[in-house]
Amino acid sequence: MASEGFVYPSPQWAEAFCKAINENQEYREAAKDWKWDVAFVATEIPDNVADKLSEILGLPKPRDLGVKVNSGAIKLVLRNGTCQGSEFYIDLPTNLPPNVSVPANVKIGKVDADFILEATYSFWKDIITGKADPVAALLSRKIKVKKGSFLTLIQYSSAAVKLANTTRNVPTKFVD
Amino acid sequence: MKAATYKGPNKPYLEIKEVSTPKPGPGEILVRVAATGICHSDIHLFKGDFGPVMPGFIPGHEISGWVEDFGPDVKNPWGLKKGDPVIVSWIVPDGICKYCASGKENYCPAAAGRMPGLVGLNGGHAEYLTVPEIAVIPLEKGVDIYYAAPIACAYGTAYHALREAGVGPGTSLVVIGVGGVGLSAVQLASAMGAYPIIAVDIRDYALDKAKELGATHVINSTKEDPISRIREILPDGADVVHEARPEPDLKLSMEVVARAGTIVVTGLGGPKSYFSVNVLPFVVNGIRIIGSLGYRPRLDLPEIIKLVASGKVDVKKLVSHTYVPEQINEAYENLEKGLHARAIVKWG
Repeated sequence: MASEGFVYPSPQWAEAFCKAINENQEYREAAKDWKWDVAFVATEIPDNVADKLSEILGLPKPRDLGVKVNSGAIKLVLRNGTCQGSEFYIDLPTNLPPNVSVPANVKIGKVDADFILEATYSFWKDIITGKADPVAALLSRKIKVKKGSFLTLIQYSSAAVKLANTTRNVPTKFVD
Repeated sequence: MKAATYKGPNKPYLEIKEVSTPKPGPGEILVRVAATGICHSDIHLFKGDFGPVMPGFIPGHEISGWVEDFGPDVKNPWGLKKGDPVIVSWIVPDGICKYCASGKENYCPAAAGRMPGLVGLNGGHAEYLTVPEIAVIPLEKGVDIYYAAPIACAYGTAYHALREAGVGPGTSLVVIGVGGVGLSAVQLASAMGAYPIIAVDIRDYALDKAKELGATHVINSTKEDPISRIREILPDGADVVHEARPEPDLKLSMEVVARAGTIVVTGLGGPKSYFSVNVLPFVVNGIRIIGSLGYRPRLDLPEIIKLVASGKVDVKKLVSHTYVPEQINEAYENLEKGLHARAIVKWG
Protein backbone atom coordinates (compact mmCIF):
# COMPACT_ATOMS: atom_id res chain seq x y z
CA MET A 1 0.00 0.00 0.00
CA ALA A 2 2.86 2.35 0.83
CA SER A 3 4.00 2.36 -2.76
CA GLU A 4 0.75 3.90 -3.90
CA GLY A 5 0.10 5.81 -0.65
CA PHE A 6 -1.93 5.32 2.48
CA VAL A 7 -5.66 5.90 2.21
CA TYR A 8 -6.78 9.03 3.98
CA PRO A 9 -8.29 8.67 6.53
CA SER A 10 -7.14 5.33 7.91
CA PRO A 11 -5.14 3.92 10.83
CA GLN A 12 -2.23 3.33 8.47
CA TRP A 13 -2.25 6.96 7.34
CA ALA A 14 -2.34 8.04 11.01
CA GLU A 15 0.70 5.89 11.81
CA ALA A 16 2.57 7.23 8.80
CA PHE A 17 1.70 10.79 9.80
CA CYS A 18 2.96 10.14 13.33
CA LYS A 19 6.23 8.77 11.89
CA ALA A 20 6.59 11.77 9.57
CA ILE A 21 6.07 14.15 12.49
CA ASN A 22 8.92 12.53 14.37
CA GLU A 23 11.16 13.05 11.35
CA ASN A 24 10.34 16.76 11.11
CA GLN A 25 12.92 18.81 13.02
CA GLU A 26 11.17 22.10 12.24
CA TYR A 27 7.97 20.84 13.85
CA ARG A 28 9.91 19.48 16.83
CA GLU A 29 11.33 22.94 17.49
CA ALA A 30 8.07 24.83 16.93
CA ALA A 31 6.08 22.47 19.17
CA LYS A 32 8.68 21.83 21.85
CA ASP A 33 6.27 23.02 24.58
CA TRP A 34 3.14 21.35 23.19
CA LYS A 35 1.83 18.68 25.59
CA TRP A 36 -1.69 17.79 24.56
CA ASP A 37 -3.45 15.09 22.56
CA VAL A 38 -5.09 16.31 19.38
CA ALA A 39 -7.91 14.66 17.43
CA PHE A 40 -8.52 15.59 13.82
CA VAL A 41 -12.11 14.74 12.97
CA ALA A 42 -13.25 14.40 9.36
CA THR A 43 -16.97 14.78 8.70
CA GLU A 44 -18.95 14.33 5.48
CA ILE A 45 -16.80 11.39 4.38
CA PRO A 46 -17.90 10.37 0.89
CA ASP A 47 -19.56 6.94 0.67
CA ASN A 48 -16.84 5.43 -1.52
CA VAL A 49 -14.17 6.58 0.96
CA ALA A 50 -16.20 5.08 3.82
CA ASP A 51 -16.51 1.83 1.90
CA LYS A 52 -12.76 1.69 1.31
CA LEU A 53 -12.09 2.52 4.94
CA SER A 54 -14.44 -0.24 6.07
CA GLU A 55 -12.60 -2.65 3.80
CA ILE A 56 -9.27 -1.60 5.32
CA LEU A 57 -10.67 -2.03 8.83
CA GLY A 58 -12.29 -5.37 8.04
CA LEU A 59 -15.73 -4.00 8.75
CA PRO A 60 -18.98 -4.52 6.86
CA LYS A 61 -19.70 -1.69 4.44
CA PRO A 62 -21.75 1.00 6.19
CA ARG A 63 -24.36 0.83 3.45
CA ASP A 64 -24.73 -2.93 4.16
CA LEU A 65 -25.37 -1.99 7.81
CA GLY A 66 -27.91 0.58 6.61
CA VAL A 67 -25.98 3.52 8.02
CA LYS A 68 -23.66 6.36 7.01
CA VAL A 69 -20.36 7.02 8.76
CA ASN A 70 -20.75 10.09 10.98
CA SER A 71 -17.07 10.84 11.06
CA GLY A 72 -13.56 9.45 11.15
CA ALA A 73 -10.92 10.76 13.50
CA ILE A 74 -7.17 10.55 13.88
CA LYS A 75 -5.95 11.09 17.42
CA LEU A 76 -2.31 11.87 17.96
CA VAL A 77 -0.43 11.87 21.24
CA LEU A 78 1.71 14.96 20.68
CA ARG A 79 4.34 15.79 23.27
CA ASN A 80 7.20 18.28 23.07
CA GLY A 81 7.43 18.22 19.31
CA THR A 82 7.09 14.47 18.95
CA CYS A 83 4.27 12.10 18.14
CA GLN A 84 4.07 9.36 20.72
CA GLY A 85 1.25 7.35 19.21
CA SER A 86 -1.88 7.40 17.11
CA GLU A 87 -5.39 6.02 17.27
CA PHE A 88 -8.09 5.89 14.66
CA TYR A 89 -11.77 6.37 15.44
CA ILE A 90 -14.74 5.65 13.26
CA ASP A 91 -18.09 6.94 14.42
CA LEU A 92 -20.91 4.73 13.21
CA PRO A 93 -24.50 5.36 14.26
CA THR A 94 -24.99 1.67 15.05
CA ASN A 95 -23.43 -1.20 16.97
CA LEU A 96 -21.26 -3.60 15.01
CA PRO A 97 -22.35 -7.24 14.64
CA PRO A 98 -20.85 -9.26 17.55
CA ASN A 99 -18.64 -11.35 15.27
CA VAL A 100 -16.81 -8.30 13.90
CA SER A 101 -13.58 -7.22 15.61
CA VAL A 102 -11.32 -4.25 14.87
CA PRO A 103 -7.56 -3.72 15.24
CA ALA A 104 -6.23 -2.54 18.61
CA ASN A 105 -5.50 1.00 17.42
CA VAL A 106 -9.00 1.41 16.01
CA LYS A 107 -11.93 2.52 18.15
CA ILE A 108 -15.58 2.62 17.31
CA GLY A 109 -17.36 5.77 18.48
CA LYS A 110 -16.70 9.44 19.08
CA VAL A 111 -13.15 10.55 19.80
CA ASP A 112 -12.16 12.47 22.88
CA ALA A 113 -8.90 14.40 23.29
CA ASP A 114 -7.55 17.59 24.83
CA PHE A 115 -8.10 19.31 21.50
CA ILE A 116 -10.68 18.24 18.94
CA LEU A 117 -10.42 19.89 15.52
CA GLU A 118 -13.22 19.18 13.08
CA ALA A 119 -13.54 19.84 9.39
CA THR A 120 -15.07 18.16 6.39
CA TYR A 121 -13.20 15.39 4.61
CA SER A 122 -12.77 17.61 1.57
CA PHE A 123 -11.29 20.43 3.65
CA TRP A 124 -8.76 18.13 5.34
CA LYS A 125 -7.89 17.02 1.84
CA ASP A 126 -7.21 20.66 0.95
CA ILE A 127 -4.96 20.97 4.00
CA ILE A 128 -3.06 17.78 3.16
CA THR A 129 -2.55 18.82 -0.45
CA GLY A 130 -1.43 22.30 0.60
CA LYS A 131 -4.41 24.11 -0.96
CA ALA A 132 -5.62 25.49 2.39
CA ASP A 133 -3.77 27.30 5.15
CA PRO A 134 -4.36 25.83 8.63
CA VAL A 135 -4.11 29.12 10.56
CA ALA A 136 -6.50 30.91 8.21
CA ALA A 137 -8.78 27.89 8.48
CA LEU A 138 -8.76 28.11 12.27
CA LEU A 139 -9.45 31.84 12.22
CA SER A 140 -12.23 31.47 9.67
CA ARG A 141 -13.59 28.44 11.55
CA LYS A 142 -13.43 26.17 8.51
CA ILE A 143 -11.60 24.02 11.01
CA LYS A 144 -13.82 24.07 14.09
CA VAL A 145 -12.20 23.83 17.50
CA LYS A 146 -14.77 21.54 19.12
CA LYS A 147 -12.74 21.14 22.28
CA GLY A 148 -9.71 22.90 23.71
CA SER A 149 -8.46 26.46 23.84
CA PHE A 150 -8.57 28.31 20.56
CA LEU A 151 -6.19 30.87 22.00
CA THR A 152 -3.64 28.20 22.88
CA LEU A 153 -3.83 26.87 19.33
CA ILE A 154 -3.20 30.33 17.92
CA GLN A 155 -0.13 30.66 20.13
CA TYR A 156 1.16 27.53 18.41
CA SER A 157 0.24 28.66 14.90
CA SER A 158 3.80 28.15 13.69
CA ALA A 159 3.69 24.55 14.89
CA ALA A 160 0.27 24.12 13.25
CA VAL A 161 1.66 25.22 9.90
CA LYS A 162 4.61 22.83 10.23
CA LEU A 163 2.27 20.03 11.27
CA ALA A 164 0.14 20.66 8.20
CA ASN A 165 3.26 20.76 6.02
CA THR A 166 4.30 17.39 7.48
CA THR A 167 1.25 15.76 5.88
CA ARG A 168 2.93 16.29 2.52
CA ASN A 169 5.64 13.90 3.62
CA VAL A 170 3.02 11.17 4.07
CA PRO A 171 2.36 9.12 0.94
CA THR A 172 -1.35 9.73 0.68
CA LYS A 173 -4.04 8.22 -1.49
CA PHE A 174 -7.43 9.82 -1.82
CA VAL A 175 -10.07 7.40 -3.05
CA ASP A 176 -13.00 9.79 -3.49
CA MET B 1 -31.64 57.19 63.22
CA LYS B 2 -30.34 53.67 62.98
CA ALA B 3 -27.43 53.15 60.59
CA ALA B 4 -24.81 50.52 59.71
CA THR B 5 -21.47 52.32 59.89
CA TYR B 6 -18.06 51.22 58.67
CA LYS B 7 -15.65 49.89 61.29
CA GLY B 8 -12.64 48.78 59.29
CA PRO B 9 -11.24 46.32 56.77
CA ASN B 10 -11.49 43.34 59.11
CA LYS B 11 -14.72 41.47 59.81
CA PRO B 12 -17.20 42.43 61.03
CA TYR B 13 -16.97 45.36 58.67
CA LEU B 14 -19.96 47.25 60.06
CA GLU B 15 -21.67 48.14 63.31
CA ILE B 16 -25.24 49.24 63.91
CA LYS B 17 -25.29 52.63 65.63
CA GLU B 18 -27.59 55.53 66.36
CA VAL B 19 -26.46 58.54 64.35
CA SER B 20 -28.10 61.87 63.68
CA THR B 21 -30.63 61.97 60.86
CA PRO B 22 -29.28 64.04 57.96
CA LYS B 23 -31.02 67.20 56.80
CA PRO B 24 -31.38 67.82 53.07
CA GLY B 25 -29.18 70.63 51.83
CA PRO B 26 -29.73 72.77 48.74
CA GLY B 27 -30.77 70.61 45.78
CA GLU B 28 -31.05 67.51 47.96
CA ILE B 29 -33.84 65.12 48.85
CA LEU B 30 -34.19 63.27 52.14
CA VAL B 31 -35.18 59.66 51.48
CA ARG B 32 -36.64 57.31 54.06
CA VAL B 33 -35.00 54.00 53.22
CA ALA B 34 -37.15 50.97 52.49
CA ALA B 35 -34.43 48.52 51.52
CA THR B 36 -30.80 48.32 50.52
CA GLY B 37 -29.04 45.65 48.50
CA ILE B 38 -26.01 43.64 49.58
CA CYS B 39 -23.57 44.06 46.70
CA HIS B 40 -20.15 42.60 46.04
CA SER B 41 -18.74 46.08 45.33
CA ASP B 42 -19.19 46.77 49.05
CA ILE B 43 -16.62 44.08 49.81
CA HIS B 44 -14.13 45.89 47.56
CA LEU B 45 -15.04 49.09 49.42
CA PHE B 46 -14.58 47.54 52.86
CA LYS B 47 -11.19 46.13 51.91
CA GLY B 48 -9.99 49.54 50.72
CA ASP B 49 -9.81 48.59 47.03
CA PHE B 50 -11.41 51.92 46.07
CA GLY B 51 -9.24 53.91 48.46
CA PRO B 52 -9.32 54.56 52.19
CA VAL B 53 -12.72 54.56 53.91
CA MET B 54 -13.23 56.56 57.08
CA PRO B 55 -14.71 54.78 60.10
CA GLY B 56 -18.30 55.91 60.53
CA PHE B 57 -18.98 56.01 56.78
CA ILE B 58 -22.41 54.61 55.91
CA PRO B 59 -22.21 52.22 52.94
CA GLY B 60 -25.12 50.80 50.94
CA HIS B 61 -25.57 51.95 47.35
CA GLU B 62 -28.54 49.91 46.15
CA ILE B 63 -31.38 51.87 47.65
CA SER B 64 -35.15 52.12 47.52
CA GLY B 65 -37.34 54.27 49.74
CA TRP B 66 -39.83 57.09 50.00
CA VAL B 67 -39.39 60.82 49.56
CA GLU B 68 -39.37 62.22 53.09
CA ASP B 69 -38.45 65.87 52.53
CA PHE B 70 -36.98 68.34 50.07
CA GLY B 71 -34.06 70.69 50.63
CA PRO B 72 -34.09 74.27 49.34
CA ASP B 73 -33.68 75.00 45.62
CA VAL B 74 -34.86 71.58 44.51
CA LYS B 75 -35.96 71.71 40.86
CA ASN B 76 -37.92 68.45 41.10
CA PRO B 77 -38.07 67.52 37.39
CA TRP B 78 -40.06 64.33 38.11
CA GLY B 79 -42.72 66.21 40.12
CA LEU B 80 -42.10 64.11 43.20
CA LYS B 81 -44.23 64.52 46.32
CA LYS B 82 -43.51 63.53 49.90
CA GLY B 83 -44.20 59.83 50.36
CA ASP B 84 -43.57 58.91 46.72
CA PRO B 85 -41.69 55.63 46.21
CA VAL B 86 -38.27 56.07 44.61
CA ILE B 87 -34.96 54.41 44.02
CA VAL B 88 -31.63 56.16 44.55
CA SER B 89 -28.86 55.98 41.98
CA TRP B 90 -25.31 55.54 43.18
CA ILE B 91 -24.24 57.40 40.07
CA VAL B 92 -24.86 61.08 40.74
CA PRO B 93 -24.03 63.05 37.60
CA ASP B 94 -23.95 66.83 37.45
CA GLY B 95 -26.36 66.76 34.53
CA ILE B 96 -24.62 69.56 32.62
CA CYS B 97 -21.20 68.34 31.50
CA LYS B 98 -20.41 67.06 28.00
CA TYR B 99 -20.71 63.46 29.17
CA CYS B 100 -24.17 64.09 30.57
CA ALA B 101 -25.13 66.06 27.48
CA SER B 102 -24.12 63.15 25.25
CA GLY B 103 -26.08 60.59 27.26
CA LYS B 104 -23.03 59.16 29.00
CA GLU B 105 -23.84 60.44 32.45
CA ASN B 106 -22.39 57.31 34.05
CA TYR B 107 -18.98 58.68 33.02
CA CYS B 108 -19.65 62.20 34.34
CA PRO B 109 -16.45 63.31 36.13
CA ALA B 110 -18.49 64.81 38.96
CA ALA B 111 -20.15 61.43 39.55
CA ALA B 112 -16.76 59.80 40.14
CA GLY B 113 -16.32 61.87 43.29
CA ARG B 114 -19.76 61.39 44.83
CA MET B 115 -21.28 57.94 44.93
CA PRO B 116 -23.73 57.38 47.79
CA GLY B 117 -22.49 54.50 49.87
CA LEU B 118 -19.25 54.20 47.91
CA VAL B 119 -17.39 57.50 47.57
CA GLY B 120 -17.91 60.80 49.31
CA LEU B 121 -21.60 60.52 50.25
CA ASN B 122 -23.13 58.38 52.96
CA GLY B 123 -25.21 55.55 51.57
CA GLY B 124 -28.45 53.81 52.34
CA HIS B 125 -27.62 51.29 55.07
CA ALA B 126 -29.61 53.51 57.39
CA GLU B 127 -33.14 54.65 58.03
CA TYR B 128 -32.59 57.88 56.05
CA LEU B 129 -30.16 59.41 53.62
CA THR B 130 -29.87 62.67 51.73
CA VAL B 131 -28.79 62.74 48.11
CA PRO B 132 -28.65 65.27 45.28
CA GLU B 133 -32.04 65.20 43.60
CA ILE B 134 -30.60 64.05 40.27
CA ALA B 135 -30.00 60.65 41.91
CA VAL B 136 -33.65 60.15 42.86
CA ILE B 137 -35.75 58.26 40.31
CA PRO B 138 -39.48 57.64 40.81
CA LEU B 139 -40.88 54.13 40.88
CA GLU B 140 -43.95 53.17 38.90
CA LYS B 141 -47.12 52.01 40.62
CA GLY B 142 -47.22 48.29 41.19
CA VAL B 143 -43.46 47.89 41.71
CA ASP B 144 -42.71 46.44 45.14
CA ILE B 145 -40.59 49.07 46.84
CA TYR B 146 -38.50 46.63 48.89
CA TYR B 147 -37.62 44.36 46.00
CA ALA B 148 -36.97 47.40 43.81
CA ALA B 149 -33.66 48.17 45.55
CA PRO B 150 -31.57 45.95 43.20
CA ILE B 151 -32.80 48.01 40.24
CA ALA B 152 -30.47 50.73 41.51
CA CYS B 153 -27.35 48.60 41.06
CA ALA B 154 -27.55 44.97 39.91
CA TYR B 155 -30.29 45.45 37.32
CA GLY B 156 -29.02 48.88 36.28
CA THR B 157 -25.48 47.64 35.75
CA ALA B 158 -26.67 44.59 33.83
CA TYR B 159 -29.13 46.56 31.70
CA HIS B 160 -26.60 49.18 30.66
CA ALA B 161 -24.04 46.49 29.83
CA LEU B 162 -26.54 44.62 27.67
CA ARG B 163 -27.58 47.83 25.90
CA GLU B 164 -23.95 48.81 25.32
CA ALA B 165 -23.32 45.40 23.81
CA GLY B 166 -26.35 45.66 21.54
CA VAL B 167 -28.38 42.83 23.03
CA GLY B 168 -31.83 42.56 21.49
CA PRO B 169 -34.19 39.97 20.02
CA GLY B 170 -32.25 36.92 18.86
CA THR B 171 -28.89 37.94 20.28
CA SER B 172 -26.98 34.90 21.47
CA LEU B 173 -25.59 35.63 24.91
CA VAL B 174 -23.18 34.00 27.33
CA VAL B 175 -23.16 35.35 30.89
CA ILE B 176 -20.06 34.37 32.85
CA GLY B 177 -20.66 34.59 36.57
CA VAL B 178 -24.25 34.65 37.72
CA GLY B 179 -24.10 36.62 40.93
CA GLY B 180 -26.42 39.59 41.35
CA VAL B 181 -25.41 41.39 38.14
CA GLY B 182 -25.10 38.19 36.08
CA LEU B 183 -28.51 36.93 37.17
CA SER B 184 -30.03 40.33 36.46
CA ALA B 185 -28.46 40.19 33.00
CA VAL B 186 -29.99 36.77 32.35
CA GLN B 187 -33.42 37.96 33.44
CA LEU B 188 -33.28 41.25 31.51
CA ALA B 189 -31.84 39.61 28.39
CA SER B 190 -34.66 37.10 28.43
CA ALA B 191 -37.18 39.96 28.61
CA MET B 192 -35.31 41.70 25.76
CA GLY B 193 -35.61 38.64 23.52
CA ALA B 194 -32.04 37.32 23.58
CA TYR B 195 -31.70 33.67 22.57
CA PRO B 196 -30.06 31.43 23.52
CA ILE B 197 -28.90 32.64 26.93
CA ILE B 198 -26.10 30.52 28.40
CA ALA B 199 -25.14 31.01 32.05
CA VAL B 200 -21.74 29.85 33.33
CA ASP B 201 -20.82 29.63 36.99
CA ILE B 202 -19.27 27.24 39.50
CA ARG B 203 -22.27 27.18 41.84
CA ASP B 204 -25.19 24.87 41.07
CA TYR B 205 -27.70 26.89 43.06
CA ALA B 206 -26.76 30.07 41.18
CA LEU B 207 -27.21 28.20 37.93
CA ASP B 208 -30.60 26.88 39.08
CA LYS B 209 -31.56 30.48 39.75
CA ALA B 210 -30.28 31.49 36.31
CA LYS B 211 -32.51 28.87 34.74
CA GLU B 212 -35.47 30.15 36.74
CA LEU B 213 -34.74 33.67 35.47
CA GLY B 214 -34.53 32.72 31.80
CA ALA B 215 -31.22 31.02 30.98
CA THR B 216 -31.79 28.48 28.21
CA HIS B 217 -28.61 26.59 29.09
CA VAL B 218 -26.53 26.46 32.26
CA ILE B 219 -22.94 25.23 32.58
CA ASN B 220 -21.13 24.45 35.81
CA SER B 221 -17.53 25.00 34.72
CA THR B 222 -16.20 22.77 37.51
CA LYS B 223 -18.18 19.83 36.14
CA GLU B 224 -17.93 20.24 32.37
CA ASP B 225 -15.69 22.01 29.92
CA PRO B 226 -17.45 25.31 29.23
CA ILE B 227 -15.60 25.91 25.95
CA SER B 228 -16.74 22.63 24.39
CA ARG B 229 -20.26 22.93 25.75
CA ILE B 230 -20.74 26.49 24.50
CA ARG B 231 -19.34 25.52 21.10
CA GLU B 232 -21.84 22.66 20.96
CA ILE B 233 -24.68 25.11 21.56
CA LEU B 234 -23.22 27.95 19.49
CA PRO B 235 -20.80 26.57 16.90
CA ASP B 236 -20.02 30.07 15.63
CA GLY B 237 -19.71 31.55 19.10
CA ALA B 238 -21.85 34.00 21.03
CA ASP B 239 -22.83 37.42 19.70
CA VAL B 240 -22.30 38.84 23.17
CA VAL B 241 -20.39 37.60 26.20
CA HIS B 242 -21.04 39.36 29.48
CA GLU B 243 -18.17 38.99 31.96
CA ALA B 244 -20.01 39.54 35.22
CA ARG B 245 -17.53 37.88 37.55
CA PRO B 246 -15.98 40.07 40.24
CA GLU B 247 -12.53 39.22 38.81
CA PRO B 248 -12.90 39.07 35.03
CA ASP B 249 -10.01 37.58 33.04
CA LEU B 250 -11.59 37.37 29.53
CA LYS B 251 -10.08 33.90 28.95
CA LEU B 252 -13.36 32.06 28.43
CA SER B 253 -14.90 35.12 26.77
CA MET B 254 -12.24 35.25 24.07
CA GLU B 255 -12.68 31.52 23.43
CA VAL B 256 -16.43 31.66 22.87
CA VAL B 257 -17.20 35.09 21.43
CA ALA B 258 -18.33 35.08 17.80
CA ARG B 259 -16.57 36.86 14.97
CA ALA B 260 -17.51 40.55 15.18
CA GLY B 261 -18.90 39.75 18.61
CA THR B 262 -18.80 41.82 21.76
CA ILE B 263 -17.43 41.18 25.22
CA VAL B 264 -18.84 43.48 27.86
CA VAL B 265 -17.22 43.58 31.28
CA THR B 266 -18.90 44.77 34.48
CA GLY B 267 -16.87 43.00 37.18
CA LEU B 268 -14.71 45.68 38.77
CA GLY B 269 -11.75 43.51 39.74
CA GLY B 270 -9.31 44.71 42.35
CA PRO B 271 -6.70 47.45 42.04
CA LYS B 272 -4.14 44.97 40.72
CA SER B 273 -6.51 43.08 38.41
CA TYR B 274 -5.74 43.03 34.71
CA PHE B 275 -6.43 40.88 31.69
CA SER B 276 -4.47 40.18 28.56
CA VAL B 277 -5.82 39.45 25.12
CA ASN B 278 -4.27 37.51 22.26
CA VAL B 279 -4.02 40.19 19.60
CA LEU B 280 -4.39 38.11 16.43
CA PRO B 281 -7.91 36.70 17.05
CA PHE B 282 -8.93 39.99 18.66
CA VAL B 283 -8.13 41.93 15.50
CA VAL B 284 -8.85 39.31 12.85
CA ASN B 285 -12.22 38.45 14.37
CA GLY B 286 -13.14 42.08 15.01
CA ILE B 287 -13.92 41.57 18.67
CA ARG B 288 -15.24 44.53 20.65
CA ILE B 289 -14.38 44.67 24.34
CA ILE B 290 -16.38 47.15 26.38
CA GLY B 291 -15.95 48.18 29.97
CA SER B 292 -19.34 49.19 31.30
CA LEU B 293 -19.69 51.14 34.52
CA GLY B 294 -23.06 51.20 36.21
CA TYR B 295 -25.87 52.81 34.27
CA ARG B 296 -27.28 56.12 33.13
CA PRO B 297 -29.62 56.95 36.01
CA ARG B 298 -32.05 59.19 34.17
CA LEU B 299 -32.15 57.05 31.04
CA ASP B 300 -31.62 53.41 32.00
CA LEU B 301 -33.36 53.24 35.37
CA PRO B 302 -36.77 54.47 34.13
CA GLU B 303 -36.61 51.91 31.31
CA ILE B 304 -35.91 49.09 33.75
CA ILE B 305 -38.68 50.29 36.04
CA LYS B 306 -41.08 50.11 33.10
CA LEU B 307 -39.91 46.56 32.30
CA VAL B 308 -40.63 45.65 35.92
CA ALA B 309 -43.98 47.47 36.02
CA SER B 310 -45.05 45.73 32.81
CA GLY B 311 -44.46 42.35 34.43
CA LYS B 312 -41.72 41.35 31.96
CA VAL B 313 -39.16 41.30 34.77
CA ASP B 314 -40.15 39.97 38.19
CA VAL B 315 -37.65 41.48 40.60
CA LYS B 316 -38.91 39.30 43.45
CA LYS B 317 -37.44 36.26 41.69
CA LEU B 318 -33.92 37.67 41.96
CA VAL B 319 -33.90 38.29 45.70
CA SER B 320 -32.96 35.12 47.53
CA HIS B 321 -32.30 36.48 51.03
CA THR B 322 -33.87 39.20 53.16
CA TYR B 323 -32.20 40.51 56.32
CA VAL B 324 -33.01 42.91 59.13
CA PRO B 325 -30.43 45.65 59.84
CA GLU B 326 -28.97 43.80 62.83
CA GLN B 327 -28.01 40.91 60.50
CA ILE B 328 -26.05 43.08 58.10
CA ASN B 329 -22.62 41.58 58.89
CA GLU B 330 -24.07 38.10 58.49
CA ALA B 331 -25.43 39.25 55.13
CA TYR B 332 -21.94 40.25 53.96
CA GLU B 333 -20.46 37.01 55.28
CA ASN B 334 -23.02 35.06 53.31
CA LEU B 335 -22.26 37.20 50.28
CA GLU B 336 -18.57 36.32 50.55
CA LYS B 337 -19.52 32.65 50.87
CA GLY B 338 -21.40 33.03 47.59
CA LEU B 339 -24.75 32.11 49.10
CA HIS B 340 -26.87 34.91 47.66
CA ALA B 341 -28.53 35.40 44.33
CA ARG B 342 -29.29 38.90 45.64
CA ALA B 343 -29.96 39.93 49.22
CA ILE B 344 -31.69 42.96 50.64
CA VAL B 345 -31.85 44.56 54.06
CA LYS B 346 -35.23 45.97 55.02
CA TRP B 347 -34.96 49.28 56.88
CA GLY B 348 -38.47 50.70 56.74
